[in-house]
Amino acid sequence: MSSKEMSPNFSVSRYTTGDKWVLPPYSELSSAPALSAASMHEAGHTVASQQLIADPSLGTGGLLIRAAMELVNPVPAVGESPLVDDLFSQLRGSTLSSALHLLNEALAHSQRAFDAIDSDPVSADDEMQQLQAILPELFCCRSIGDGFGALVNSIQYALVNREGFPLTKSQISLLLGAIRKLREAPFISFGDAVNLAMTFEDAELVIDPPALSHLADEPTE
Amino acid sequence: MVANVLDISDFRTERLIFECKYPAAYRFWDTAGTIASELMEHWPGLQPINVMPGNIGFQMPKKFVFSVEVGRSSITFFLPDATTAVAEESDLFFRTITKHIQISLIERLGLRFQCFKELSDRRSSACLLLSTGLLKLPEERVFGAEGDPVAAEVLVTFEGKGLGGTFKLASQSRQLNVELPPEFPAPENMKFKMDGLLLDVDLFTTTPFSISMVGVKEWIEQALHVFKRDVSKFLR
Repeated sequence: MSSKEMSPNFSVSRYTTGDKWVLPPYSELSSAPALSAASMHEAGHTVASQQLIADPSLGTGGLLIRAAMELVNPVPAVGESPLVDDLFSQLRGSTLSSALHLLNEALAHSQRAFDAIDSDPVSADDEMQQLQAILPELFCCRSIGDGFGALVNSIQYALVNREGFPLTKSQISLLLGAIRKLREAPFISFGDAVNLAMTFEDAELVIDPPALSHLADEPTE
Repeated sequence: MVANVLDISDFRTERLIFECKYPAAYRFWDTAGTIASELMEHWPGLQPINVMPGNIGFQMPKKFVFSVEVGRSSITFFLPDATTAVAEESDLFFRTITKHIQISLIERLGLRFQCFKELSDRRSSACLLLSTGLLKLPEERVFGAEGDPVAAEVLVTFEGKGLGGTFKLASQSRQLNVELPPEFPAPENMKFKMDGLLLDVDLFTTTPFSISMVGVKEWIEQALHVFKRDVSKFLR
């Protein structure tokens, strides 16, 4: 297929290197800035299909990418996204405001633990113990959403299942990331929360309830 | 303490509209039927009022109307009272819609209050509005017209980093004419006329944000609180 056969709705660009290929925006305007596929994806665009087409006019190894972008819920180019605090700046005395306050504390403890883990592991462990003490109260705010409850629960079990052993730097980093995510997006969906919790296992954190592990260990006969 | 010229309790809330705008969600075309079925499961007795490819609408007569479109959804409550679960119903509606059209971003959330205070005539509506001090008029005669104004309107909008609001107070004349076919023996053609003050307040978010950042129930509860707290400040 030559480039002339392409629909004018499809954007075409020169193939670059590796997986960092470049897609022009959903526009035929040459003055519009080019965006990488990764940035388009992050911005909410979904690339529905792509096709590599050899084009001799581009010289040896020259390729064209034909990309049909399905504009699923694209990010509007308006301003900067607000924080949860901006959206709920007038909310007082609710479960959400309690949760945000507790998450601030949890975030501070886990950040201090992460900062101290290399130089002062005892202080880091102390901070994680204080984080653990906050989690039951945070779990009481689970009416915010299934995702919120699931992620708090996973963090809680990840710590309980350490059975007193201190956390490594990568484990603290993962928990810090999860708490930060909850602070930024407390209404996280259940699916996203589970996906995030599953990454804990990469750092050998067990997120299943201890009782469940014992059940799984029971002999079948 | 000086009493307000007007009080929110003087107004009757006629409509309360919750609206959510999002970038075009074309999955709506695939899931419109599923959305309709699920809404009817949640609210038995719901009646379809509009079934178009780009827009479906339902009503619970004299209570509320739902509207779902590719780029926006809304629920309008009619004459809501203290027993109307605005936050809960809107939250359930919103979750039902977003589950099926699978949006990840919200462009705008808004809660709009339309309230009305009936008065004897246009002139007294304008006078009452002017007595709030929200408008400053020249003292001398203007436009070659003598006497008090017969209509007045105030509109002001604030936009912050995450939240914004529009306050509107206006004198309003409403008229409804019902012209009956000649074969109807009685009554005569009917005319309804109503003068008064319209209080129209819209509270909204100002910039797009991720859907995981907001709970509709919590956001509406906040907006209801802000309305009660702040609108009376304009009516002093």
